[in-house]
Amino acid sequence: MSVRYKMVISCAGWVAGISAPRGPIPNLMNGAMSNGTLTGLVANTWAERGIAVPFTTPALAQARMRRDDGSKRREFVLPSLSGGKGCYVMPWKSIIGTMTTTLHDRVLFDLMQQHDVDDPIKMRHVTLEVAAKGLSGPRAARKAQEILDSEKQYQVLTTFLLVLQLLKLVNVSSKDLIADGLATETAQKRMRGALLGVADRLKIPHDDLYLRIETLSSLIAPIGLPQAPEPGRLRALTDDLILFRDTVRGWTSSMPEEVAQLGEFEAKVAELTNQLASKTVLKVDTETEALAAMLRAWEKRFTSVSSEVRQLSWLLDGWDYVITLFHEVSDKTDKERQTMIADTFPLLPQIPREQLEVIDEKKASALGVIQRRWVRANEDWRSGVLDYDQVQRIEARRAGMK
Amino acid sequence: MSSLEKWREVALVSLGLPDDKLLGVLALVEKVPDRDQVREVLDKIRPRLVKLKPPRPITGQRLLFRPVEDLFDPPERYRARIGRLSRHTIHPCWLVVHNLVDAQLLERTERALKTIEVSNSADIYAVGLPFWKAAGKALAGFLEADTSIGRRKVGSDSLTVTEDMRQQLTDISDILGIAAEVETVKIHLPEKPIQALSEVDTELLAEVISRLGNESTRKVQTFILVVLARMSKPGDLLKVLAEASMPCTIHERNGLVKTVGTNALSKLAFEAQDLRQTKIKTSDPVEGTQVAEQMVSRLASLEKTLGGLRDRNVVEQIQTTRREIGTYVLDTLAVKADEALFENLRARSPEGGGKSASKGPTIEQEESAEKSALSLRRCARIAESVGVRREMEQKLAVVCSQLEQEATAPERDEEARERRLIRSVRLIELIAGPDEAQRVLMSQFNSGE
Repeated sequence: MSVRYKMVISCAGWVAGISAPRGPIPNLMNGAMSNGTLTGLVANTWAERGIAVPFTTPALAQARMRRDDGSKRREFVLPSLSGGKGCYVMPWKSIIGTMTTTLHDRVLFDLMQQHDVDDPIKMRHVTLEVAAKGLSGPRAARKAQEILDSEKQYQVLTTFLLVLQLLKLVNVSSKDLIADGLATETAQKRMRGALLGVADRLKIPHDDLYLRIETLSSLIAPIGLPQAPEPGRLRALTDDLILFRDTVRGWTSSMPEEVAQLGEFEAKVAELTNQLASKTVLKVDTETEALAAMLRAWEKRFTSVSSEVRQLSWLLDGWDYVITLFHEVSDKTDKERQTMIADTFPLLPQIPREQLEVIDEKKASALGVIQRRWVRANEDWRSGVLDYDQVQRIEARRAGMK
Repeated sequence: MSSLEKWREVALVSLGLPDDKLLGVLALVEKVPDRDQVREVLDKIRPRLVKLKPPRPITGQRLLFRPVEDLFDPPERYRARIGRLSRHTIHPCWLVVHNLVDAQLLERTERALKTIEVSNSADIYAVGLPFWKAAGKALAGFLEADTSIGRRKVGSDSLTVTEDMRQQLTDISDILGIAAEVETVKIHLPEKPIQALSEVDTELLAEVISRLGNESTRKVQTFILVVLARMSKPGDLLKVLAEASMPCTIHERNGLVKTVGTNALSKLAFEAQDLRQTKIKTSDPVEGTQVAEQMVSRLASLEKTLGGLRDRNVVEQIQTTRREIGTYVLDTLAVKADEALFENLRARSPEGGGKSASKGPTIEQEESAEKSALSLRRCARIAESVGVRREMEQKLAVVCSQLEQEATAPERDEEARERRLIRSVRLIELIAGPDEAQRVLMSQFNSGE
């Protein structure tokens, strides 16, 4: 069986610019790091880093999918696959030739191709669709269905809040609107009339106004509006990073030095990601606050918000899994927390070079040493048999994710 | 109603209580001074307590049996002459010790026990050491004073001593004599069942064996007997014994390894027999599979060590045990798992079936079906080592074929049909792997096009 794969050494540069655990600079293969430099090791762009794919095959858990530079076909970046330093990059054909994958993963891959998934938001939709069918277990199916339903409702809420914001322009308050109940004919008439007033005032065709609001609501629902009673998914995840940072720091400060360094590193990655994410959320909030201006200069402003939302989804892509692992051990022993810290290390979402102004290569390069020490034992896949107990643990995790 | 009958009723009612309530009853029962009265309650709820592992206050009686606790079997599963003890022996043994040990020491010990933490092994050891020594001597004295069997007077009480009880009391007395070594090792070794011995563990064991070996071979045998009961792979300990430095000939050493190894093997053989005869009750196939897996692992470990002795009886016993486990896996476990799987898969409950009008199993029932499927897969994995591979393969082929029929059965409601298809396909995946599951799934999609 011919297996095509290539190995890249990227362990040392998960996140450049962060003070990494100390240690000698590893003598890595293929010359990429022969002088301790990170040239070519940190992903330059989001596309190069790839999208986290929630596969249930243990060896593939949180692999990242990206397009091959030349052929543009999909390939997967697998951290710590062999238990060694670096990542393997393999096309799907090689993966299925090398290991047994779950039925869920096979169906997921087919759908990824059908829907031409090329960003984390599309990935999430496809993932939820597959999970809702029941292919990752009954509990994950119920959870996926609940998420799909609640996200639909959240989008309706976001639309409603945007409409309310617009109605203020024509001096109609939410109180006026729902004085006789929101679903009544009178209220609906009043709202339609008010929106016509808004459209006239903004000099936008009447039909376009509501379409733009719907489109915007669909775009920003994953973040949600600041005035919403509940934060959107990505906004909540941004806040979770701070909890993660503080808690992991607290846990690891009294742990052995090696773990403490690793914990501190993870805390810093979380902090940096939170800083970048918060800036992005703020930009989106600022744009939506000036909703009237946005609707007037629709093309330009909408493109700008789209780019910010896309940026945020890439930035936080993969963090939901790490945060779930983190919550799982919140009431567990130090030993289990140490394992979590080690397990999440290779999965930490990388921040590409283009996103960072300062890259402290020397410090980041030392991560390779830690990566060598903290490896996952992918033993079962080597024997060619799927460890379904482990698969079920991953599925259970999926059922607990937000 | 006599008080004994009342306690019997308490026992029956307790069995139906949820865990937290059961622990409440236990706390009350623990306060009853007359242990005889409540013994039946404790015996009845013991299987639940083994799982719940509630911290129980240490009494003088519990302290006495701490070094020998790993050797006790329930009376219905106890077999003589394999170095095990029956729970029925606890009471007469305690009677002897209670009556013959220095009363002041007993009182001092019981007073000290009230002040220490249940989880503090070091403190328990410190309090227990003089008591174990004295109790061991008291038991030995009792046995030496009168070697006859029959009714014996102990203080104001009397008890019937059988030949087997004499042997058990002798074993307990021997273990109490080396309680210091046993308890020290228990503190330092991993929790039972011990999966593997580290280098440090091996060194500690070798050192203790060597020290006891200088005193007498019998002490080594007694020590091994106790530690062996804590081992998940008993062969590992036998290997330490075979390599430890002792002042004896190779022949004597091999004899020792054979004696303790054969005891462990006999215990395993009886357990396998009990499993087949359902004397060991496992609550579900998942638990049963775990038990079978552990037994296979123990057998393989013993075979590795004892196989080298080239003893015909040992070889025969290994083969018999393997057959017993094989029969249990095939005739009991696989059958139970199969039944549980289809029972849950075909369940119709009001809350199952999602939005569809057609009802299906609940999530819990689906998960139970998946657990049963995994049990079948694990049975298949151990089938080869217990000589039932072909039979197990046939069994799984039948189950998969039934599942395929379930998957492809016609259904008017499209949503319900799809849910049932996925449910069945997932079970096929767990049993036969993703390739087979994919084949069934694709065949449905292709036939639907």
